[in-house]
Amino acid sequence: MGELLGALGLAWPRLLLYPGGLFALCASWLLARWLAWCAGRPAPPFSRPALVDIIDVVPPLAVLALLPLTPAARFPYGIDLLVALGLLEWPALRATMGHAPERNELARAYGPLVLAALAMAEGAGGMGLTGLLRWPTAWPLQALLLGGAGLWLWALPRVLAETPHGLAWRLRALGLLLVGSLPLVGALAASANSLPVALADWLIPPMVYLSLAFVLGGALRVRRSRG
Amino acid sequence: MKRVAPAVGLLALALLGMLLALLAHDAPLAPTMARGWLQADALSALTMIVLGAQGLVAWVRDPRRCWPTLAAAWLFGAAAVMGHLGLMAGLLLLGGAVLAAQTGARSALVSTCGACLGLVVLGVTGGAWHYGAPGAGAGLNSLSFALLLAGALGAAGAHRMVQGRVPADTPLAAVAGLTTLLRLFSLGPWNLGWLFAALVVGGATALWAAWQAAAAPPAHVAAWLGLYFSGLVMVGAGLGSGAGVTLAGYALLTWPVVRLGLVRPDGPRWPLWLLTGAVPLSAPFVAAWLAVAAAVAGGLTLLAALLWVAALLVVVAVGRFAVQDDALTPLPPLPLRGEGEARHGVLMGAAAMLSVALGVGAPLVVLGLGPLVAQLQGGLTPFGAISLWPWAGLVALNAAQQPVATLPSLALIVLMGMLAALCWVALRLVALWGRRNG
Repeated sequence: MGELLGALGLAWPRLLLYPGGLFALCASWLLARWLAWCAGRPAPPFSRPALVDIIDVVPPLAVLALLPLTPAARFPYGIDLLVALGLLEWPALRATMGHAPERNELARAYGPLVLAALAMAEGAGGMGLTGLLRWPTAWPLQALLLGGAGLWLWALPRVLAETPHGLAWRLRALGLLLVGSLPLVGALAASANSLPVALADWLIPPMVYLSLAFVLGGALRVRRSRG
Repeated sequence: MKRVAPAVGLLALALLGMLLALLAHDAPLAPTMARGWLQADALSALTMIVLGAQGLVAWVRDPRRCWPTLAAAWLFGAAAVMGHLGLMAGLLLLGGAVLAAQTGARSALVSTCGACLGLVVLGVTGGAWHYGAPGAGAGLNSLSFALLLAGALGAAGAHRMVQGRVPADTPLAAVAGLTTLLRLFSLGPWNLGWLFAALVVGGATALWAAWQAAAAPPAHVAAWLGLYFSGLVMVGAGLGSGAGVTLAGYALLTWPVVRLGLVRPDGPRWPLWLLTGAVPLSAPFVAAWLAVAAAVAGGLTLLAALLWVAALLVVVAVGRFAVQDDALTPLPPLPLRGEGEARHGVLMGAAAMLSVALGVGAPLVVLGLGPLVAQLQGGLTPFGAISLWPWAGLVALNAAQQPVATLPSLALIVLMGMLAALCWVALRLVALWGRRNG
């Protein structure tokens, strides 16, 4: 019990600053604007969230706060891919139910994500998000991990296209992108041996996020030009 | 009074199961006076609890014709504490006959016949009729296993699925068939072929039932979801590990709760959200997590993917009622005592609360299922275990005792509570600031 309370007591920077809190709000806002611009949609209007929106906002925000991103302090109670996807998709599932979704539509949207998650789990030797940052030594596992991350990121344009505006949706998009970026951060950190660890911790993650955001924007632009 | 009496009998069965769970916590009970004819362990206790719960749900759905349900539940419950295979088979057969006479579903009788035949073959081949006897495991062979698996499948209604029809809603027979299948772990380890067969059949059943449930009319959803949970139990048996048995036990406990909530799928909406599996930390969500985690811990990634997709389909199956009901055919009102929306609301609310209790209290449930795993350990493989994460939640371990999946449910609840409080404070501050600036 004391261990849990101690861990929660030390989790405030995670909840308020990084990777949850201020970082999550600002980065998700920037990402939403960038993706909307790439997809040729009007920029999301600034609207003040209502009290009821807390129901939708809290689960994706919790995932963002628990992401094992450096340089945030380590949190001992990490979640796994299934829990992360379940919490991130909560606003989407709530909204999807409104139009009694087709089974095929659901399988097309989530099938690749599920396969990608399990490929990453197979490569990392477990579904825990922390494990995705550990770069395996055997090349088949490396290929599985990278392939899984690639499939995850490839599936994102379909999942993120045509989503409504709103804080919960923005946080969901950021969370899905950051989960897919974890194996890449791990791979780059393992290959950048010559960099001092402290510098690599500060340099590599933002570089990966920015690159992936650009790639995702490009994919949405291509999707739009194909009609 | 006449209507309440069966409910009292069913409640007594469930309470007896709970008492048995306490008594058989450390070791199976085999009174020396009974000379091996009676043998009760944690699986017997779980069977009685689930039978009582399923019977009570059946009573809530239709209190007028519950005497046969009561008789069948007690017969199946008695079969669960029999140490003699012949007696077990006889009681199962009687229970199947009572159910078949009540519902007109011949499948209940035919499938229990299959299971009985499997038990008889087991006794005849092994030469030891008391399953607790040292040489009883010698009777385990492919024929008896196939008969018991077919019996469990038939009782769950999987044969109707193959015919493209809605499975018969006979959960009591299904519970009896599935727990009899799990009983085989008391006799000894299964060979790889049997594990594979149970995995394939269970995985296919769960996926197909979830696929059908996602588009089924309201009246049929409960039957399809019953088949989904039966599939999960079979997958748990097929995994043949501690994690698999935990999954089977948890799925058996979740099933009556979801069934209670679907008494009236077009009733009030908020309780249905807590039964969809979309809400993290509700019972169906934890069941899905256990299924995927157990499969990953066993190294069966493809199965994990199938079970994950099935869980998503189950979300749609129930979730679509939670949002809209205009496009769906309204159900005729169920003959509940003191009819009315208020009563439906109370029942669904109770189901929702039970779902939350099972989900949030999953560590306690897994702790309660500990003796079940320990007492069947002789027949289990080491490929996966669900372990408690002290004051945090659950963790799935692989054969090397490395964590492969984590569900820190308690930590998540506290964390989400803190986040909700922070969001509330922030919104109030923004509103105050907005008001002050006009």
